[in-house]
Amino acid sequence: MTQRDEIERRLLSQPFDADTRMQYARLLLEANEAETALAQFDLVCQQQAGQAVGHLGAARALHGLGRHAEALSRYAQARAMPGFEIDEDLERIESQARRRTGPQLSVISGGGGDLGPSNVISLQRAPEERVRFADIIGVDALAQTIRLKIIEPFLNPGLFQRFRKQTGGGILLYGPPGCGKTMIARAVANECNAEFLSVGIADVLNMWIGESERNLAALFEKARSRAPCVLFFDEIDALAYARSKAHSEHTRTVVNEFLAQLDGIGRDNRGVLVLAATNMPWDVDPAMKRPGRFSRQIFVSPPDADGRRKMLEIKLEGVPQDGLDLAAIAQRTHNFSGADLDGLIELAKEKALRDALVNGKERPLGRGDFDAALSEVRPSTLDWLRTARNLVRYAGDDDSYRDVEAYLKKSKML
Amino acid sequence: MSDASLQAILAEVRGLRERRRTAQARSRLQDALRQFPNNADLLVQSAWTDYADDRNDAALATVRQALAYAPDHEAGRQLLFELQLDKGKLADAEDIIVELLRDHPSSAAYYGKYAGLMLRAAQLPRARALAEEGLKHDADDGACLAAQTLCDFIEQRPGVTSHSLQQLLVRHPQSQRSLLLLLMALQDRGDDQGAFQIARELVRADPGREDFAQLAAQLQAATHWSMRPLWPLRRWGWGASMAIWLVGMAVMRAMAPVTPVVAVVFGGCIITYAIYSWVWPPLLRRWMART
Repeated sequence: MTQRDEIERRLLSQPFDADTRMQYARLLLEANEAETALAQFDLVCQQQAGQAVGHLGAARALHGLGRHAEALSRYAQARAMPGFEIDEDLERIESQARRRTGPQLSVISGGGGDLGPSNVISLQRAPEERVRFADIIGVDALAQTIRLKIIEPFLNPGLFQRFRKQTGGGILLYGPPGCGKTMIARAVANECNAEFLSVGIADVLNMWIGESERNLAALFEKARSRAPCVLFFDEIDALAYARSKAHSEHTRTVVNEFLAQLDGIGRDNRGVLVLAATNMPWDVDPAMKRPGRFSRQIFVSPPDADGRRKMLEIKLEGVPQDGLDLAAIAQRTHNFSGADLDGLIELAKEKALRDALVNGKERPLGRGDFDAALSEVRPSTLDWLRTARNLVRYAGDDDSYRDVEAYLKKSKML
Repeated sequence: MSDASLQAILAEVRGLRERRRTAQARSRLQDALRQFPNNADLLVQSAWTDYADDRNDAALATVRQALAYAPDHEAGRQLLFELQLDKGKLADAEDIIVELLRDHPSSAAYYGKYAGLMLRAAQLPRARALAEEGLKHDADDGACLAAQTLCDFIEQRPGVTSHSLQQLLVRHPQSQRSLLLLLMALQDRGDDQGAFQIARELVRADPGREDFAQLAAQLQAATHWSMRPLWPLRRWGWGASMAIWLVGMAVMRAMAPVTPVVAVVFGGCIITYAIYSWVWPPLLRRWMART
């Protein structure tokens, strides 16, 4: 039996033995099976998160495959972790990359020619309304966290540096749909006094080979040229879909380009705050969540009872009503998102209007309308929360979803 | 609309579907189908999108419409095969896959699908032969390797099992199929702890899949400390149960004339163990599923 056979057999019975997997990955790399080795190194990274050894191996495998930008990105990541060892080849490539001056695009000439200002695609600009945290209801605690973790490091980088507090990298907002992730991102931009550039799937995804990557590079380039700037990616799971789940090479190359842009190799990302939002954080490529990228993940939960009461007050302002106990309605709308509350109010209004039309007599909105509406509407967040519960219960041992866990416990769903 | 832009729409739809954006894919297709209502490619993509959303009846109607315009459409025939398989119409599915293999005799993927079909029909020798044939064309094909591994499991050939599973894990280490087969192998070996870890990986990759969550719940119950005394029964099943009874009875008979009190206590322990093994696991599973 060869050494390789023996290791393969050992891995079959001990699939979580990281040392054996590492040994196996090195063996594959030596046998010039870089692609297979890369898959094994990725598994090591998953098993030994926070250790440089897997990332170093992955960087070497990527180098072997000729994917130098990705190799450098992994090598830079490994450098910040314990157990880092210098690799001569990668050092040489890195020094060559550093020699490039000024902001550059890694994806150029795909369709012929460099990316000049005329090629840079136009971005969706935020409307002029200046949303601030004070305007968003039910996010008081979240606003404090965001101020400490995002806004202040962005506005006062020197202060955080003096305290040797790590800053930089992007922020991933995740949570059930309709809970105001986009509005929070907009408020962050305004609180930071920065320009807000919002990017949707349609701004990036283009199925011609290389076009999506070019679009992505152009977006980052535009954000850099407008610093200070908040670059916001909505539905990031579509742009950074987990490569291990992807079937097409196109998806993988888009993620690779995204990673390279976030790492800013050979470019300067200072003054660009990258925010992203997703309903499906489990579909986002794990590499996106590593330090320096979207290392900070913030859970945007459905509003609490007090938040819901305030929302109801605002949404029902000026609407004829008769003795409505908004606090009681708020108590009965647990797990409702802002969008669900809108739906509930509309349904209650419809019932009152239908009565008015049938009886020919106008009457104000009453408790009965809300009782009837509540029997028909169920919170749209429930499916999301159930899925998140599976994750927290069986796969959340890495603390990534601690806030979700706390919310689920509070909601008695866990 | 030019052929190039049609191709771009088709590629875009495939990309959106891969990213689980089926609503957007459907809307894109509806726009395109308004212009080209008889285009087989668009209809087939529309059917695949319905299939991704578990709308199998709509998918079947659309794919039949597409195949009426283009009877040889490969992706359409592939989908029809999957739909017939899902409906349990194995003979119809076999006709389609045989036709596909006739047109693409060196496609390992089709041999793998055919082998999977034969496994469902409990035709093990044919399934194995088909998987082996497919692997001659492409030694890395996941479907063929998976079919071969399943054959090994069913035929209880542990040595061979490890080889085909080994290959599957080397070639496709992170695919759900590989992980599920590894989980089965670990369970087969009585390594519930290892199987539970794999189940957790599966839930982490796709937390929306309730079957994965249930599998993880079952394995969590199986690895609970209170299940440890039942390990021999879980590992060797009825064999262990019979052995415990036989040994227990023999020891009790031997002890009865010498120390009758100890023999009675021993007999009581055996009966308690039997009741415990019978009552506790389902109670624990139910409790685990509720909390």
